[in-house]
Amino acid sequence: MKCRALNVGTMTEPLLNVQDLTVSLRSPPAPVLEGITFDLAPGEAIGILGQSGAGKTTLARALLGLLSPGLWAVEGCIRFGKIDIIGAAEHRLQTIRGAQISLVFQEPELTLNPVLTIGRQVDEVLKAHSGSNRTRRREEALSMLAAVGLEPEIVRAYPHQLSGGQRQRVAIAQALISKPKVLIADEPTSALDNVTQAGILELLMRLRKAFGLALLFITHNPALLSGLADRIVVMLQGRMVEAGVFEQICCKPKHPYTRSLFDSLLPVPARLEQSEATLTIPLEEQPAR
Amino acid sequence: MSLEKHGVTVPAPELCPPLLELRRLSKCYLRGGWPSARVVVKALDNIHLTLRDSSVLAIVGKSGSGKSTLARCLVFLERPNSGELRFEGIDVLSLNKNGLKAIRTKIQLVFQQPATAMNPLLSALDIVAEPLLIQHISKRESCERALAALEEVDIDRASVGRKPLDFSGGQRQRIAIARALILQPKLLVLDEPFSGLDLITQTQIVDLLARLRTSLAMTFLLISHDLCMAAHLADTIAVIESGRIVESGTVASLLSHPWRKETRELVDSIPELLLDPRQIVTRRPAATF
Repeated sequence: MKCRALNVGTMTEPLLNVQDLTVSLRSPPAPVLEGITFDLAPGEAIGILGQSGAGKTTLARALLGLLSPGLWAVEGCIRFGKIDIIGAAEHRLQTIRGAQISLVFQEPELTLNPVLTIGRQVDEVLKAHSGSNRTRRREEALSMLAAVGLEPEIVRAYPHQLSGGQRQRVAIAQALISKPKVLIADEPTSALDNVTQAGILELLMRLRKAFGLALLFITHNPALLSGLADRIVVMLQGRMVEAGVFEQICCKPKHPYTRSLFDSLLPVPARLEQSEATLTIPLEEQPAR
Repeated sequence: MSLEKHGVTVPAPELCPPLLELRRLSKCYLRGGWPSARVVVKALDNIHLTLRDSSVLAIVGKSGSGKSTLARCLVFLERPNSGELRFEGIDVLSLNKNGLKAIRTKIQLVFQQPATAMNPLLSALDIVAEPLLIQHISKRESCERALAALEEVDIDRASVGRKPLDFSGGQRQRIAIARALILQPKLLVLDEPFSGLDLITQTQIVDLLARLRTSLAMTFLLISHDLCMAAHLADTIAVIESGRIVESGTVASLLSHPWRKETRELVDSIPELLLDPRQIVTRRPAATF
């Protein structure tokens, strides 16, 4: 099979096994994903890299069984442990979503409920997946919010009172509170500025180690995968064009599309122009005329 | 290089009057209200800027630093509470409605999200021709000039009849740029023109703006949170934080010797491939910028 050649091989028993996944729109019939094949091992981080429209978000939704059967035709195999996600009943999927596999969406302002406090929204996830009492759940929520770098007072705040970075930290806390084995992060920093983005990436790296998480990080920017992803899957128009160890692909991309993705990373001018540089004078210290 | 008393210095002939001058510009908003007390938020605090003809100045800062408020003040969508705003030596804030209308054609703004800045019911051609029709230019001439402007930004003639939502994010941004250029403005204000776009498209828009700058001898005021993208277009960068310009300088000096903590944060947060540069075989040559 064509896609097998691009399979990302793993040494350990895979946690998530995706085999020849094909997803099409039913009306009008149009393929969105074709022959996606990869394995995700426990504690491993895979970067899914591609431009807008490559099918990255559809892949994330398919992995959680979120594609409505009335609109989408899903074929192939998505195996999480012994469970086949594609054929699983809705009540079975509900025990996996959020509890075993969690998803952090692109825009937290659209995923957080604007009329509920942060504390209530984090508690909702625990209520759905754990049998703990209210006091225990509150302790767990505060502990998870602290783990993502948020103060306890935030439980009384509403989403509109938080910055973009804080909202994304809440979304990550919600995703991790049930201690899932797999975290899918779908462009979690695309709506954030660079400084906030750096903070969220650092947080994900730290939490991945602390919780032994397997991470599927979806992005259009290869630089974000640097130091984060062990392996990458490059997607173009719903197909895998290249897959393998991040450093190898970064240094020697085989497919022209992968090369163009890495080529579009603009070099940081200062690194190359330092010799020409002169001192910058802060405004208050600039000499008066 | 000479230094202004405050604010940004753009290298330019001394005799040439500045295209745009901002002196002690401040803008406040009232936030909150019943049942809590109203709070005055200083969105812009004592801004000093000077922008000379055919130069590119980038205003870089985190989310919430006042970048978009500044852009809206520059195109008279917001009225500053105090300070001076001079365009070609004219005190813009003292002008009446008719005076402002005449100046508006010379300063154009490209909004952050082109999808929400365009009428979804109009075709790309009608969107670009609309500013000319408002200026009472004949329909035939408007259409001809709109076609030429769309070709200039690489939108082919075959697709000019399509509606904005039928275009990709990058194409919509090109249409927004064509609409802004159709009145041949002297100053183009670009408010986060790369946000919401994938990396390849971002690089294409950087290339397009660089080409337009050269071919049309344009003056740009670029607003962005991405210091790297800004550095590839701008001559000078000013860093804004909590409504104040905290540091400014040439691209090389600011990136290689950031003085202020806020600037260092922005420089450090530029995503980069953390690999041995000798291993990276496919990178854009340094000569391209």
